[in-house]
Amino acid sequence: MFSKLVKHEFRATARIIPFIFMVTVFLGLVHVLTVRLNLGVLSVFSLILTVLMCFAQVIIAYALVIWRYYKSMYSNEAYLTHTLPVHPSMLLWSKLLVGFVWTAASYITAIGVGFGVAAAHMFKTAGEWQNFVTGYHQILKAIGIEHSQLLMWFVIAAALLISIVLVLSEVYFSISIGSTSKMHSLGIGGPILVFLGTDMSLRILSALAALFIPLGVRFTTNASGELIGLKFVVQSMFSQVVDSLNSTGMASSSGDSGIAGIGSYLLLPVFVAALLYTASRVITRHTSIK
Amino acid sequence: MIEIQNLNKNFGTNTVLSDLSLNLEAGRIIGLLGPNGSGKSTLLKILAGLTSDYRGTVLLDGHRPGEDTKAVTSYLPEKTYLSGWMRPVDAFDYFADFYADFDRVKAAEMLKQFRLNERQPIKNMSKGMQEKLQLVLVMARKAKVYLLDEPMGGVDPATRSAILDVTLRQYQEDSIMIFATHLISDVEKIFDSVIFLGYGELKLFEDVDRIREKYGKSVDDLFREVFACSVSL
Repeated sequence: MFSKLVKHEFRATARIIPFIFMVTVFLGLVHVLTVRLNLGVLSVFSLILTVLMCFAQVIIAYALVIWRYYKSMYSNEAYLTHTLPVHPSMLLWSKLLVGFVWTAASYITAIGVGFGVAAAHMFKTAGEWQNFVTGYHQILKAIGIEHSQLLMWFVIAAALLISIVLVLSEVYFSISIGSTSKMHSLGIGGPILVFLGTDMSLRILSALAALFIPLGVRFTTNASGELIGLKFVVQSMFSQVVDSLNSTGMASSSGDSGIAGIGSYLLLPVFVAALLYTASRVITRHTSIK
Repeated sequence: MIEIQNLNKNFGTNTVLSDLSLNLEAGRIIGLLGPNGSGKSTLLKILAGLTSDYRGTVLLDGHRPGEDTKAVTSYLPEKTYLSGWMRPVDAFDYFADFYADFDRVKAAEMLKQFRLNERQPIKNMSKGMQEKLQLVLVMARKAKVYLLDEPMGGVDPATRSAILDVTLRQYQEDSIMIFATHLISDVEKIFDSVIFLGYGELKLFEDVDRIREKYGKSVDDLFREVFACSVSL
């Protein structure tokens, strides 16, 4: 049944979202063409449109995925959705999976088109591409992570993907809670209020986790402020603040270092699990379609 | 087939169903009647599994409304629930995928009887056409429980007769059908029993033959008497 839910969810969403991605790719190609043909004003105009579209399509993908969730779970279409012979949590998971695929695809399209446009400007000869690659490796070497670049890209990709899941989980949770019978009188205001409250709470928890969980990245800079090292450390931002206060006036003139707490990332899966578990329970036990 | 014990449902401070108890047997067509706001739709939504925040016991074929009961319950809401982009063929695909008891051939026949085009997008259909399509989808299932909420609400008298005809022909003898309507005189001839719901409370649950025998009135006349409103001009 899950595969059928996913199939029909894709079918319902695939009529609009890929079309928006195609518009972005088309604009990017038009820009590359105008660059190759040296069409001055047109080139600038198409660049502005492409950049705007890269951002807009991510926002549109989120908006459509969220609107689809609300429409199919809590408006007239819910009369069909909630009478399907599937466990209610399956409805949530199928919508989360499809929503995730579309929003991740919107980021990938934006990054791909952005890179393509940048490449059209920067890499007009093979030598320029070689210079870029060399420069990239020099930066990695300078900050001491030339041997762990795979890990770096993995961490960046994982952080992006899990943040997509977090946003969708937060919104689905808010819509599900805000559509229970106790909040019917608030209309669309119910989910919005729940979202604001949830988002604020998660931000506070994340800030506390970043401060107090002993996990961070130490940034080391030279005397002129350039980044010369990156290192994972088992130390909290708070302890570094305390250390800094204790050693006031003893700063080294040859450079500086600071810790950025990343403990909040450890909490992201916990947030996601808690939000989805609660949303699933609410859908199962407190659904009340108007 | 359907067992309801001490069912209560509130919307905020408003009580919609109050301590309702009913036992409904299979093989019957039951009219669910009551004035506006009497809780008819809410009761059907609870049975269909659309409303789960109620108090009391509700069992369909021995199970609480959920995954098992939804597989054997065919529900027609008063609202149109299909996406505008869908065409009848897409809706057939959807139903065939999720309901093992959906009969596609029967659905196509009924569609033809209602003179609906299976390739016409739903957004281009009138409300009456959409209602007919939904009725086709619901009645093309070999379900154990049929829940119909105002199936003739927005259609002309000729279509009402056609709907009634389709409903009767597709109804399975071993199943139960609960039919909520305001158009009592048009439909009472098909009812075996009727339930009168008055503002969340059970006012009457009786066989139609017994009503005629006991009160010497039609269901429509009795309804008007029970729920009479005095209007002074």
